[in-house]
Amino acid sequence: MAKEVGSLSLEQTQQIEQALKGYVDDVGVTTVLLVDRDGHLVTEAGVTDAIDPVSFGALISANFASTQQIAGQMGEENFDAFYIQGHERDLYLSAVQEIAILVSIFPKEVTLGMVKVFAEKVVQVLCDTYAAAAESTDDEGMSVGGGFADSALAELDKVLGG
Amino acid sequence: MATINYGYREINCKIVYYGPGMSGKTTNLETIHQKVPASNRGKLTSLATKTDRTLFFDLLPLDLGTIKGFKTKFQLYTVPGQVYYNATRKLVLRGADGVVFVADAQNDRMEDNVESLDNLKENLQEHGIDIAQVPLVLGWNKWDLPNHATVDELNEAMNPWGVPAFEMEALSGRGVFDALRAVTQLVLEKIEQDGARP
Repeated sequence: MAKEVGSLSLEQTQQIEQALKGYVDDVGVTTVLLVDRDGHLVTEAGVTDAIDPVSFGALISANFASTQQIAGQMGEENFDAFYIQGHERDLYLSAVQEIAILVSIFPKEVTLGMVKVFAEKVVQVLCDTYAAAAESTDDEGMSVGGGFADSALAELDKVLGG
Repeated sequence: MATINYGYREINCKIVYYGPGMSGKTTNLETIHQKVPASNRGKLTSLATKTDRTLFFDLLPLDLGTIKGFKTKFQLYTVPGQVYYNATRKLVLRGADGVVFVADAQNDRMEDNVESLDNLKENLQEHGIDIAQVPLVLGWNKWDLPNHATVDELNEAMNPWGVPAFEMEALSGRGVFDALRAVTQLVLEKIEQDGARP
């Protein structure tokens, strides 16, 4: 099977987690999320109690996608990043190629310039990790296994009361 | 395509409810939200206008728990049905693993249904997907109303592929779970086929 873009091994997910944790610790951002372009949360670091990561991820992805449409209408190929100012916390979104979005939520004490510089470094790590994942020929564990559909459907029947 | 994260042992699937304005897409999600146990579903998020017309999308996350070692999650989305929100529909359709097309079965809505289905085909095409290849089911909604078309007429107009189609009353829930189950089955079979070793 062709490996889909964005499929990560355990080692690669650990590399990403480490990069996000380092970003939180070094810069003082409150929360960092990595969301794929389809709106699914890949992973998170920092304080995440205050948000619902599933709907947040979907909203971020939709917001980012609509902003890219605006870029197109301005004659820009795309926007690499954008910033949203809040009253107590700000939001900075960075594109990780066409694969994902790095979401940084940070308090007023942390400067935007600092976030931009460090977010760019994290994005580079993420791009390298995704590139390595795409090039890897090691597909150990890259299978859902037979009988998955039947088992999942049986579970859905329980959920739907069937 | 479903996101299969082998590192985290997690599978995320996206199912999109498509159809003309006021056909009952949001009501499908509201009914599912009401009837599914709270432990298996997340918050129903709606980006709607002041008059409750969908502006961007509705989102309902469903969690099936851990299946064969994979945390298995579904995200159900609706698109805005109104004709002039096509750019938004295209965005929501991105990455869809399956589609439930909710048609309004009333005779006087046939043209709107067909137009919306053509729009779905075009928008999928723009994402490089042939509608014949995507897991798709159809719901003939508002079946409780007296002026609905017949199943044959609806199939003739909208179902050249012979995909599963269900009489539906989204408000009462009739056909809603059947459609969800059918599209889920198609999506899961595709994942098993694509995500298994050759």
